[in-house]
Amino acid sequence: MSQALNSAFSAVTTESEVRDQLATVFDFHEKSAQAHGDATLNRHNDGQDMYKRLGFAPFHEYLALTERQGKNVATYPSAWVTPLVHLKGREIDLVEELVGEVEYDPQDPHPSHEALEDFPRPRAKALEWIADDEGDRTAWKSQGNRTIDAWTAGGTDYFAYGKPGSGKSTLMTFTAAVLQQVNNETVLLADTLDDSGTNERAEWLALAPWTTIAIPDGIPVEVRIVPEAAELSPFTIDVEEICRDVVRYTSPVDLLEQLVEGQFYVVFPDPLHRGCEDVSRFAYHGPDRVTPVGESGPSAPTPADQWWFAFVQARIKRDVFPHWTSILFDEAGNLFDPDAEKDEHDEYDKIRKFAKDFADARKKGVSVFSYAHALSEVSHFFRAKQRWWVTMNGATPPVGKSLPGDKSCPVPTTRYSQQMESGEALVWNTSNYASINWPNVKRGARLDAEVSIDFDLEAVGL
Amino acid sequence: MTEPVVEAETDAEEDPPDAGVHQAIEPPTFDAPTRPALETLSRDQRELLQSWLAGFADRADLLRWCHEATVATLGQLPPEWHRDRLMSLSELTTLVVVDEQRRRWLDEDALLDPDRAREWRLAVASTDLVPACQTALRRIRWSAVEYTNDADDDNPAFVDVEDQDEPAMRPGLGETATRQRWVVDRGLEGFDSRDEIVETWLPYAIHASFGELDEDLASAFWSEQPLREMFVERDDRAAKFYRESFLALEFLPAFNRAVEQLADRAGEAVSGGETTDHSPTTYPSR
Repeated sequence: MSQALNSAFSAVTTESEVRDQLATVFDFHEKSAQAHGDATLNRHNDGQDMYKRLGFAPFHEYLALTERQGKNVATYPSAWVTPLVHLKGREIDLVEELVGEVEYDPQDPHPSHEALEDFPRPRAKALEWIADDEGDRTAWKSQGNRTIDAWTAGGTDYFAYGKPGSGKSTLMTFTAAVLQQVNNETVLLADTLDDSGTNERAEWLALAPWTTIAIPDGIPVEVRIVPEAAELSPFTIDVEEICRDVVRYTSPVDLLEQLVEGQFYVVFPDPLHRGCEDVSRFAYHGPDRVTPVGESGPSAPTPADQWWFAFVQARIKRDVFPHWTSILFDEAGNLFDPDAEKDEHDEYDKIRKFAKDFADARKKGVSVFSYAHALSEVSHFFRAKQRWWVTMNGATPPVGKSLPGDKSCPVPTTRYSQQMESGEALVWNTSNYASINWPNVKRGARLDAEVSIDFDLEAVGL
Repeated sequence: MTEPVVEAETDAEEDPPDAGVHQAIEPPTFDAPTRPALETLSRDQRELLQSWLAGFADRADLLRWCHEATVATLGQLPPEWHRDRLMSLSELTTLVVVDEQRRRWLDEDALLDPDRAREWRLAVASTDLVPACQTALRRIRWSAVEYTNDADDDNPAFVDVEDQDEPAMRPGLGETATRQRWVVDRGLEGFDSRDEIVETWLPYAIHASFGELDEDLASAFWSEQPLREMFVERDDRAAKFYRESFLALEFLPAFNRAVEQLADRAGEAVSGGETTDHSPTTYPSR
């Protein structure tokens, strides 16, 4: 093996080389409005930079291509375009008025109508594509007969399920980048903390140049870099070094007050649940309330993940941050546990309430995208309120089965999903379906080390 | 299941005489029939019956229909049935509805009027065609796969009958029928040389007949000058009539036996959706 090839396939062996790699991975984008922490600045948004730097085409060009090839993504836009392109009521009216007035041209970066000029370019072009519909797109089982008829104002959702390795984390990264590109969406990746306070998943690293990490205030945190080369020992760096910005919050409302429009966040829930009971009528027990086994009261603190139920309540009940907000739940089965019990943490009621409030959340511009290994991994309360599903490569759509909430899957045969390759999926709502593909945004700068974020939970009594 | 809809009877007087194909009553339909192979077969048989009742444009048209009938009845019509239709002039005049064609076979005053002719076709359908369709359905009723949606089934099935273009969802039958269709069409057309027949057409026909064709056919084409003349040298009306007759007498019975043999053992497979491309478009890079 040649020297060059050999070095390309083996891990670097000095700490300074690992640090050089870290500097490349965490080469932050400093020019956008979000980088300056102020979305009102007359600067481009992160969403307009992400797809360029990650090397994929803007979403409207993908739509134009699928339309030229006569694919379902374009023919039945309610399957994949509606969940990603969010519209307010007056924007729906605007696009409706533009039908017949615009001439979408994928080559021309400028929209063809002055009414679209106030929008950021990628959003303007996406809206233009939606409006430029000669009635040949939505046909089968859709309400109305033009693309725009498939929209209701507000947030959306999808629930993606498939085995490990079926591309869920690249789909998640891609979804975040597209939401920011076409909606200037504020995207929150719901990260988790296990009992030991360690988080090793770091699936968001491809988006590191634009990331703000939100951590509960007052809990000591450090980032451990574990090089692959066995001869190197792990070393620690500050959390500020792996993201563009860090925010520390004291409660769900406090975090909402600090959010910036169009910013990507990796959010770690507060295991102390501070301020949760102020915004929710359910119980959140911090370590100070734990009682010995045998006595009344909780014998363990409420799992940190449940903080998200309080956060979503705060987002929809308190009008602190009204901008488009998407929350991405990886391993959604942990949060929306189908076996949730009516225990002292009210887990069962929290899930029911979350599902009940789903429609409200959408009206308030909240979208929820969740990822799990199987449909059965999440509570049927949650599933009944879902409007979109993504069947990943290797999984099977529930053809012909009745689903929670009197829904059914429109995919006619399991053959379509059997033919899928990695990086492909079948997305469907109750009326339409489409086969989709997304770029492999995982591939970024090389890093021959694991990034592990460690919270010192003992310091706060956990 | 959708509710059966009984359409109001339309003005029968205004319909053309051979418009018996229009359906005044509508049976219930099922989105996901449990035995879609039977549904597919039954659908093809209904279409077969309708085109029979509508009548034919000429004798070659009837010959092609006879071949489709061997497929849709899974070979359950007796081999001589097609011959009886095609070789009797009086019969022909009741099946072919184009007057110019009918007058070639019988005098004007011997022809049945169109209504009586259709009545005759209805009679033959009731006595021969419908019973053969029933026998065919019985042949495969228990080998037709049942697709049910069991809640515990990881691979629940749903078959869109509209997508099923193989006879009784048996691709083996469909392949054979396609081969046979080509043999009939090509034979009706005639050939440029004896070589084409011996080199290509006959060997292909042997395969298409599942080996049921008369073994002496090749040597007949080689040695019998009149036969060769009708298939190679001449293309007049009489030669065409001869080719139609020859195909009806020598090929259709063999093809019928082939389909009958295959029907029992051909495996079932779901096809369809071919009109829609379900492969995703690769997301473009910058």
